[in-house]
Amino acid sequence: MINKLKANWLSIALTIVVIISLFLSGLIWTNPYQYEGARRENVMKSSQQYTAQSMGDVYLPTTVVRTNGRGNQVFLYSTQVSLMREMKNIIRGWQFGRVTTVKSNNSDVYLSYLRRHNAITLSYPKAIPTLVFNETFSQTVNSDQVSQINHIVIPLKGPREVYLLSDHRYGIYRLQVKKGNFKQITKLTKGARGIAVDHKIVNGTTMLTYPKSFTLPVFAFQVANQNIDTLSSNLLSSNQRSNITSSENGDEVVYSSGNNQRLVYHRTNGTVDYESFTNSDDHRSTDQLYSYFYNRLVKTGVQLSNVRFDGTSNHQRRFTYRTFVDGFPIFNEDGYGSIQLMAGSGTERCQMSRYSLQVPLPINQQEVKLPATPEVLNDLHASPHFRDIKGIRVGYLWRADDNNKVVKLTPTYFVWYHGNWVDYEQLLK
Amino acid sequence: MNFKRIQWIFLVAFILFDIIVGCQLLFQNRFTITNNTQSRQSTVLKEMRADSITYQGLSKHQPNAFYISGSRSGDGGTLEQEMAKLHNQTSRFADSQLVSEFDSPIKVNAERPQLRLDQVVRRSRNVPLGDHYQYNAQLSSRREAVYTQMVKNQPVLSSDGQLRFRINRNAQVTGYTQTYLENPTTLQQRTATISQRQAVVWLYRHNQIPNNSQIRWAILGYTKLLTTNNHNQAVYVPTWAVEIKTKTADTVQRLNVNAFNSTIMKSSPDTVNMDSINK
Repeated sequence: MINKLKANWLSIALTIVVIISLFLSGLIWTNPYQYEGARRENVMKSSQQYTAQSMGDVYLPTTVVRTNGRGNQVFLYSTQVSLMREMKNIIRGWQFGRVTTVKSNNSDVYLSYLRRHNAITLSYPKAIPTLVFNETFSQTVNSDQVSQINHIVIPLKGPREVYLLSDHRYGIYRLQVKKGNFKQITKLTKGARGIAVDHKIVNGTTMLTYPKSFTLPVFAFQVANQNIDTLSSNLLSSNQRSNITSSENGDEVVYSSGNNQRLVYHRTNGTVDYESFTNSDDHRSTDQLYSYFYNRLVKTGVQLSNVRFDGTSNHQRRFTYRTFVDGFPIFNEDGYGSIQLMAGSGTERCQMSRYSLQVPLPINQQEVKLPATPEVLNDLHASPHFRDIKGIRVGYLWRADDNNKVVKLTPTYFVWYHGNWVDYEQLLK
Repeated sequence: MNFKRIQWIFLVAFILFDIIVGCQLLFQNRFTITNNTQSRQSTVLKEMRADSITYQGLSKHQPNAFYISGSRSGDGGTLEQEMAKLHNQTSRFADSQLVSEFDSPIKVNAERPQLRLDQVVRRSRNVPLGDHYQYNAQLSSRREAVYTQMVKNQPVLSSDGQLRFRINRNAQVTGYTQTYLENPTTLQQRTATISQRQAVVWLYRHNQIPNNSQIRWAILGYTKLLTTNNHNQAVYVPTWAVEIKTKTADTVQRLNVNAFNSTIMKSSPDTVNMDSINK
């Protein structure tokens, strides 16, 4: 026996290492793509505050639409609960089966799925990689089969299936639901308020329009004014312990750390422009940017509870994160309430401001009446800028007052004009 | 011979593969463990025990709560109006507070006054708006039974929504003082707060808990964060109120931690001027 082992020890050893390697490969295979530290709760060093915002909370879909049995659609929002966060918690408990492609390259069929009767549609502001969807909803959808997702359609009646829709080539994918309670979704959306909407496809992209005029409440907030020294050291901090130097130049203060990091603070409007240069050609793929930027976002020290991912631009190298109130985005000319992160070859940039929304304040003002989308488009049609308008959405305007201590948020339409979301009334002037 | 050489090459290649992949997996695991807040918290809890700070089971649950606005019921407000319904007591209303003296004292169980008082509170001829209040064991003492107004299932810990019964040496309730928070309204969607454990750990890390002390309790409730000049409405925030007793000196200290952003609450709330936006 021992002699036999001795004679064949090489083959036996080889078999053992092969089995180990198979086992390890299996481990990697079953482990979905691991984001660096995305799942952990973050404890910030500077102020030692706990933020309960995981990466999944930042990359959530931003709109919930319910379609009834007759095909009427309503945009759902709630003053009491964050519908999307509750949805996330429900869906995280579900188990999906196989993915099958239903159809692609047909916009009519695509729209019919988007307007599917008796269903809830969750939409992202812009396509996100399936890996991010998996991270948010704790799923393992094969990203080779479905590379990006714009909408999630959950039929409330009929077969136990969920559809993933991708605006890119109008891809429709079916997910079998092995385990999941759809009644929880029905229950959650029951108490929500609704505004009549319509899903449309305009110039190859899906759009949400409001066919009737409607009202929205006004909000007031106390504004948090982050200390510029804290903010600059949060942004400039790096592994090397180099000192931060600052120099004043008129209304600008320039902070720099070493030769490769620079931060310009504009005193007049409180905005900050950070840039860093690296010599290495360390090029992050777009998919990697989602987790990388999330970590950068946490480092800024800004309260993330109402901050959501709001799309990419510049060939998916520029990410926008925006503050939302009751499900609606907030816009400001100086970029208050939003954080822009950019990654170029060897450079990285961050644009943000010292100001963020802090404590909601009681304000006893009447709800604001907004016109129907076709009316707004009609008005805009007369304007010379109409040709340059690319998109339209409803949100809240942060109009800064002199001291920037309190702010009133008023609802209005915003149009995508020359790379910015602009209050439509500005263009009518 | 040739076959043996191939076997050798394969063996070496596979061993290398196993080592590299194995190390990567191991490294990855360690990375997530060291960054885990939960485990970091338990190390802090261990440190606390080493500093002889005692506490009873701290919950890891993160309750949901709201920002609430409301104003303390004042002259001509609901509380004063309800006063007219009271019987068998002498009451007056001053400084947004109701003070009442029972004509004949109510006998209660000295250990558990709430057994009798729960019945008293329920009748509007005894106590106005009593069904909005609940007994709070932590805030009560031998000489005072405290009922707190409940807003969205959480007690009001500020003095703006409380009902305090005076208990004399013979375990008799002689009267009460009452305040009432009018029109409590939610200001924003509900949000997860920090857990009881996170609140205590946070206090310890910021040197707010002296060595050799006992954490008697930590409860979640609403505390006034700021007042506004908009009809005197105030904003209330969920806070963890923590009571700490030093074992040597026998002094009791109460600390409030803002449960949304984990900061220590100021003793007097700021006033926010809303004139610029309230036009």
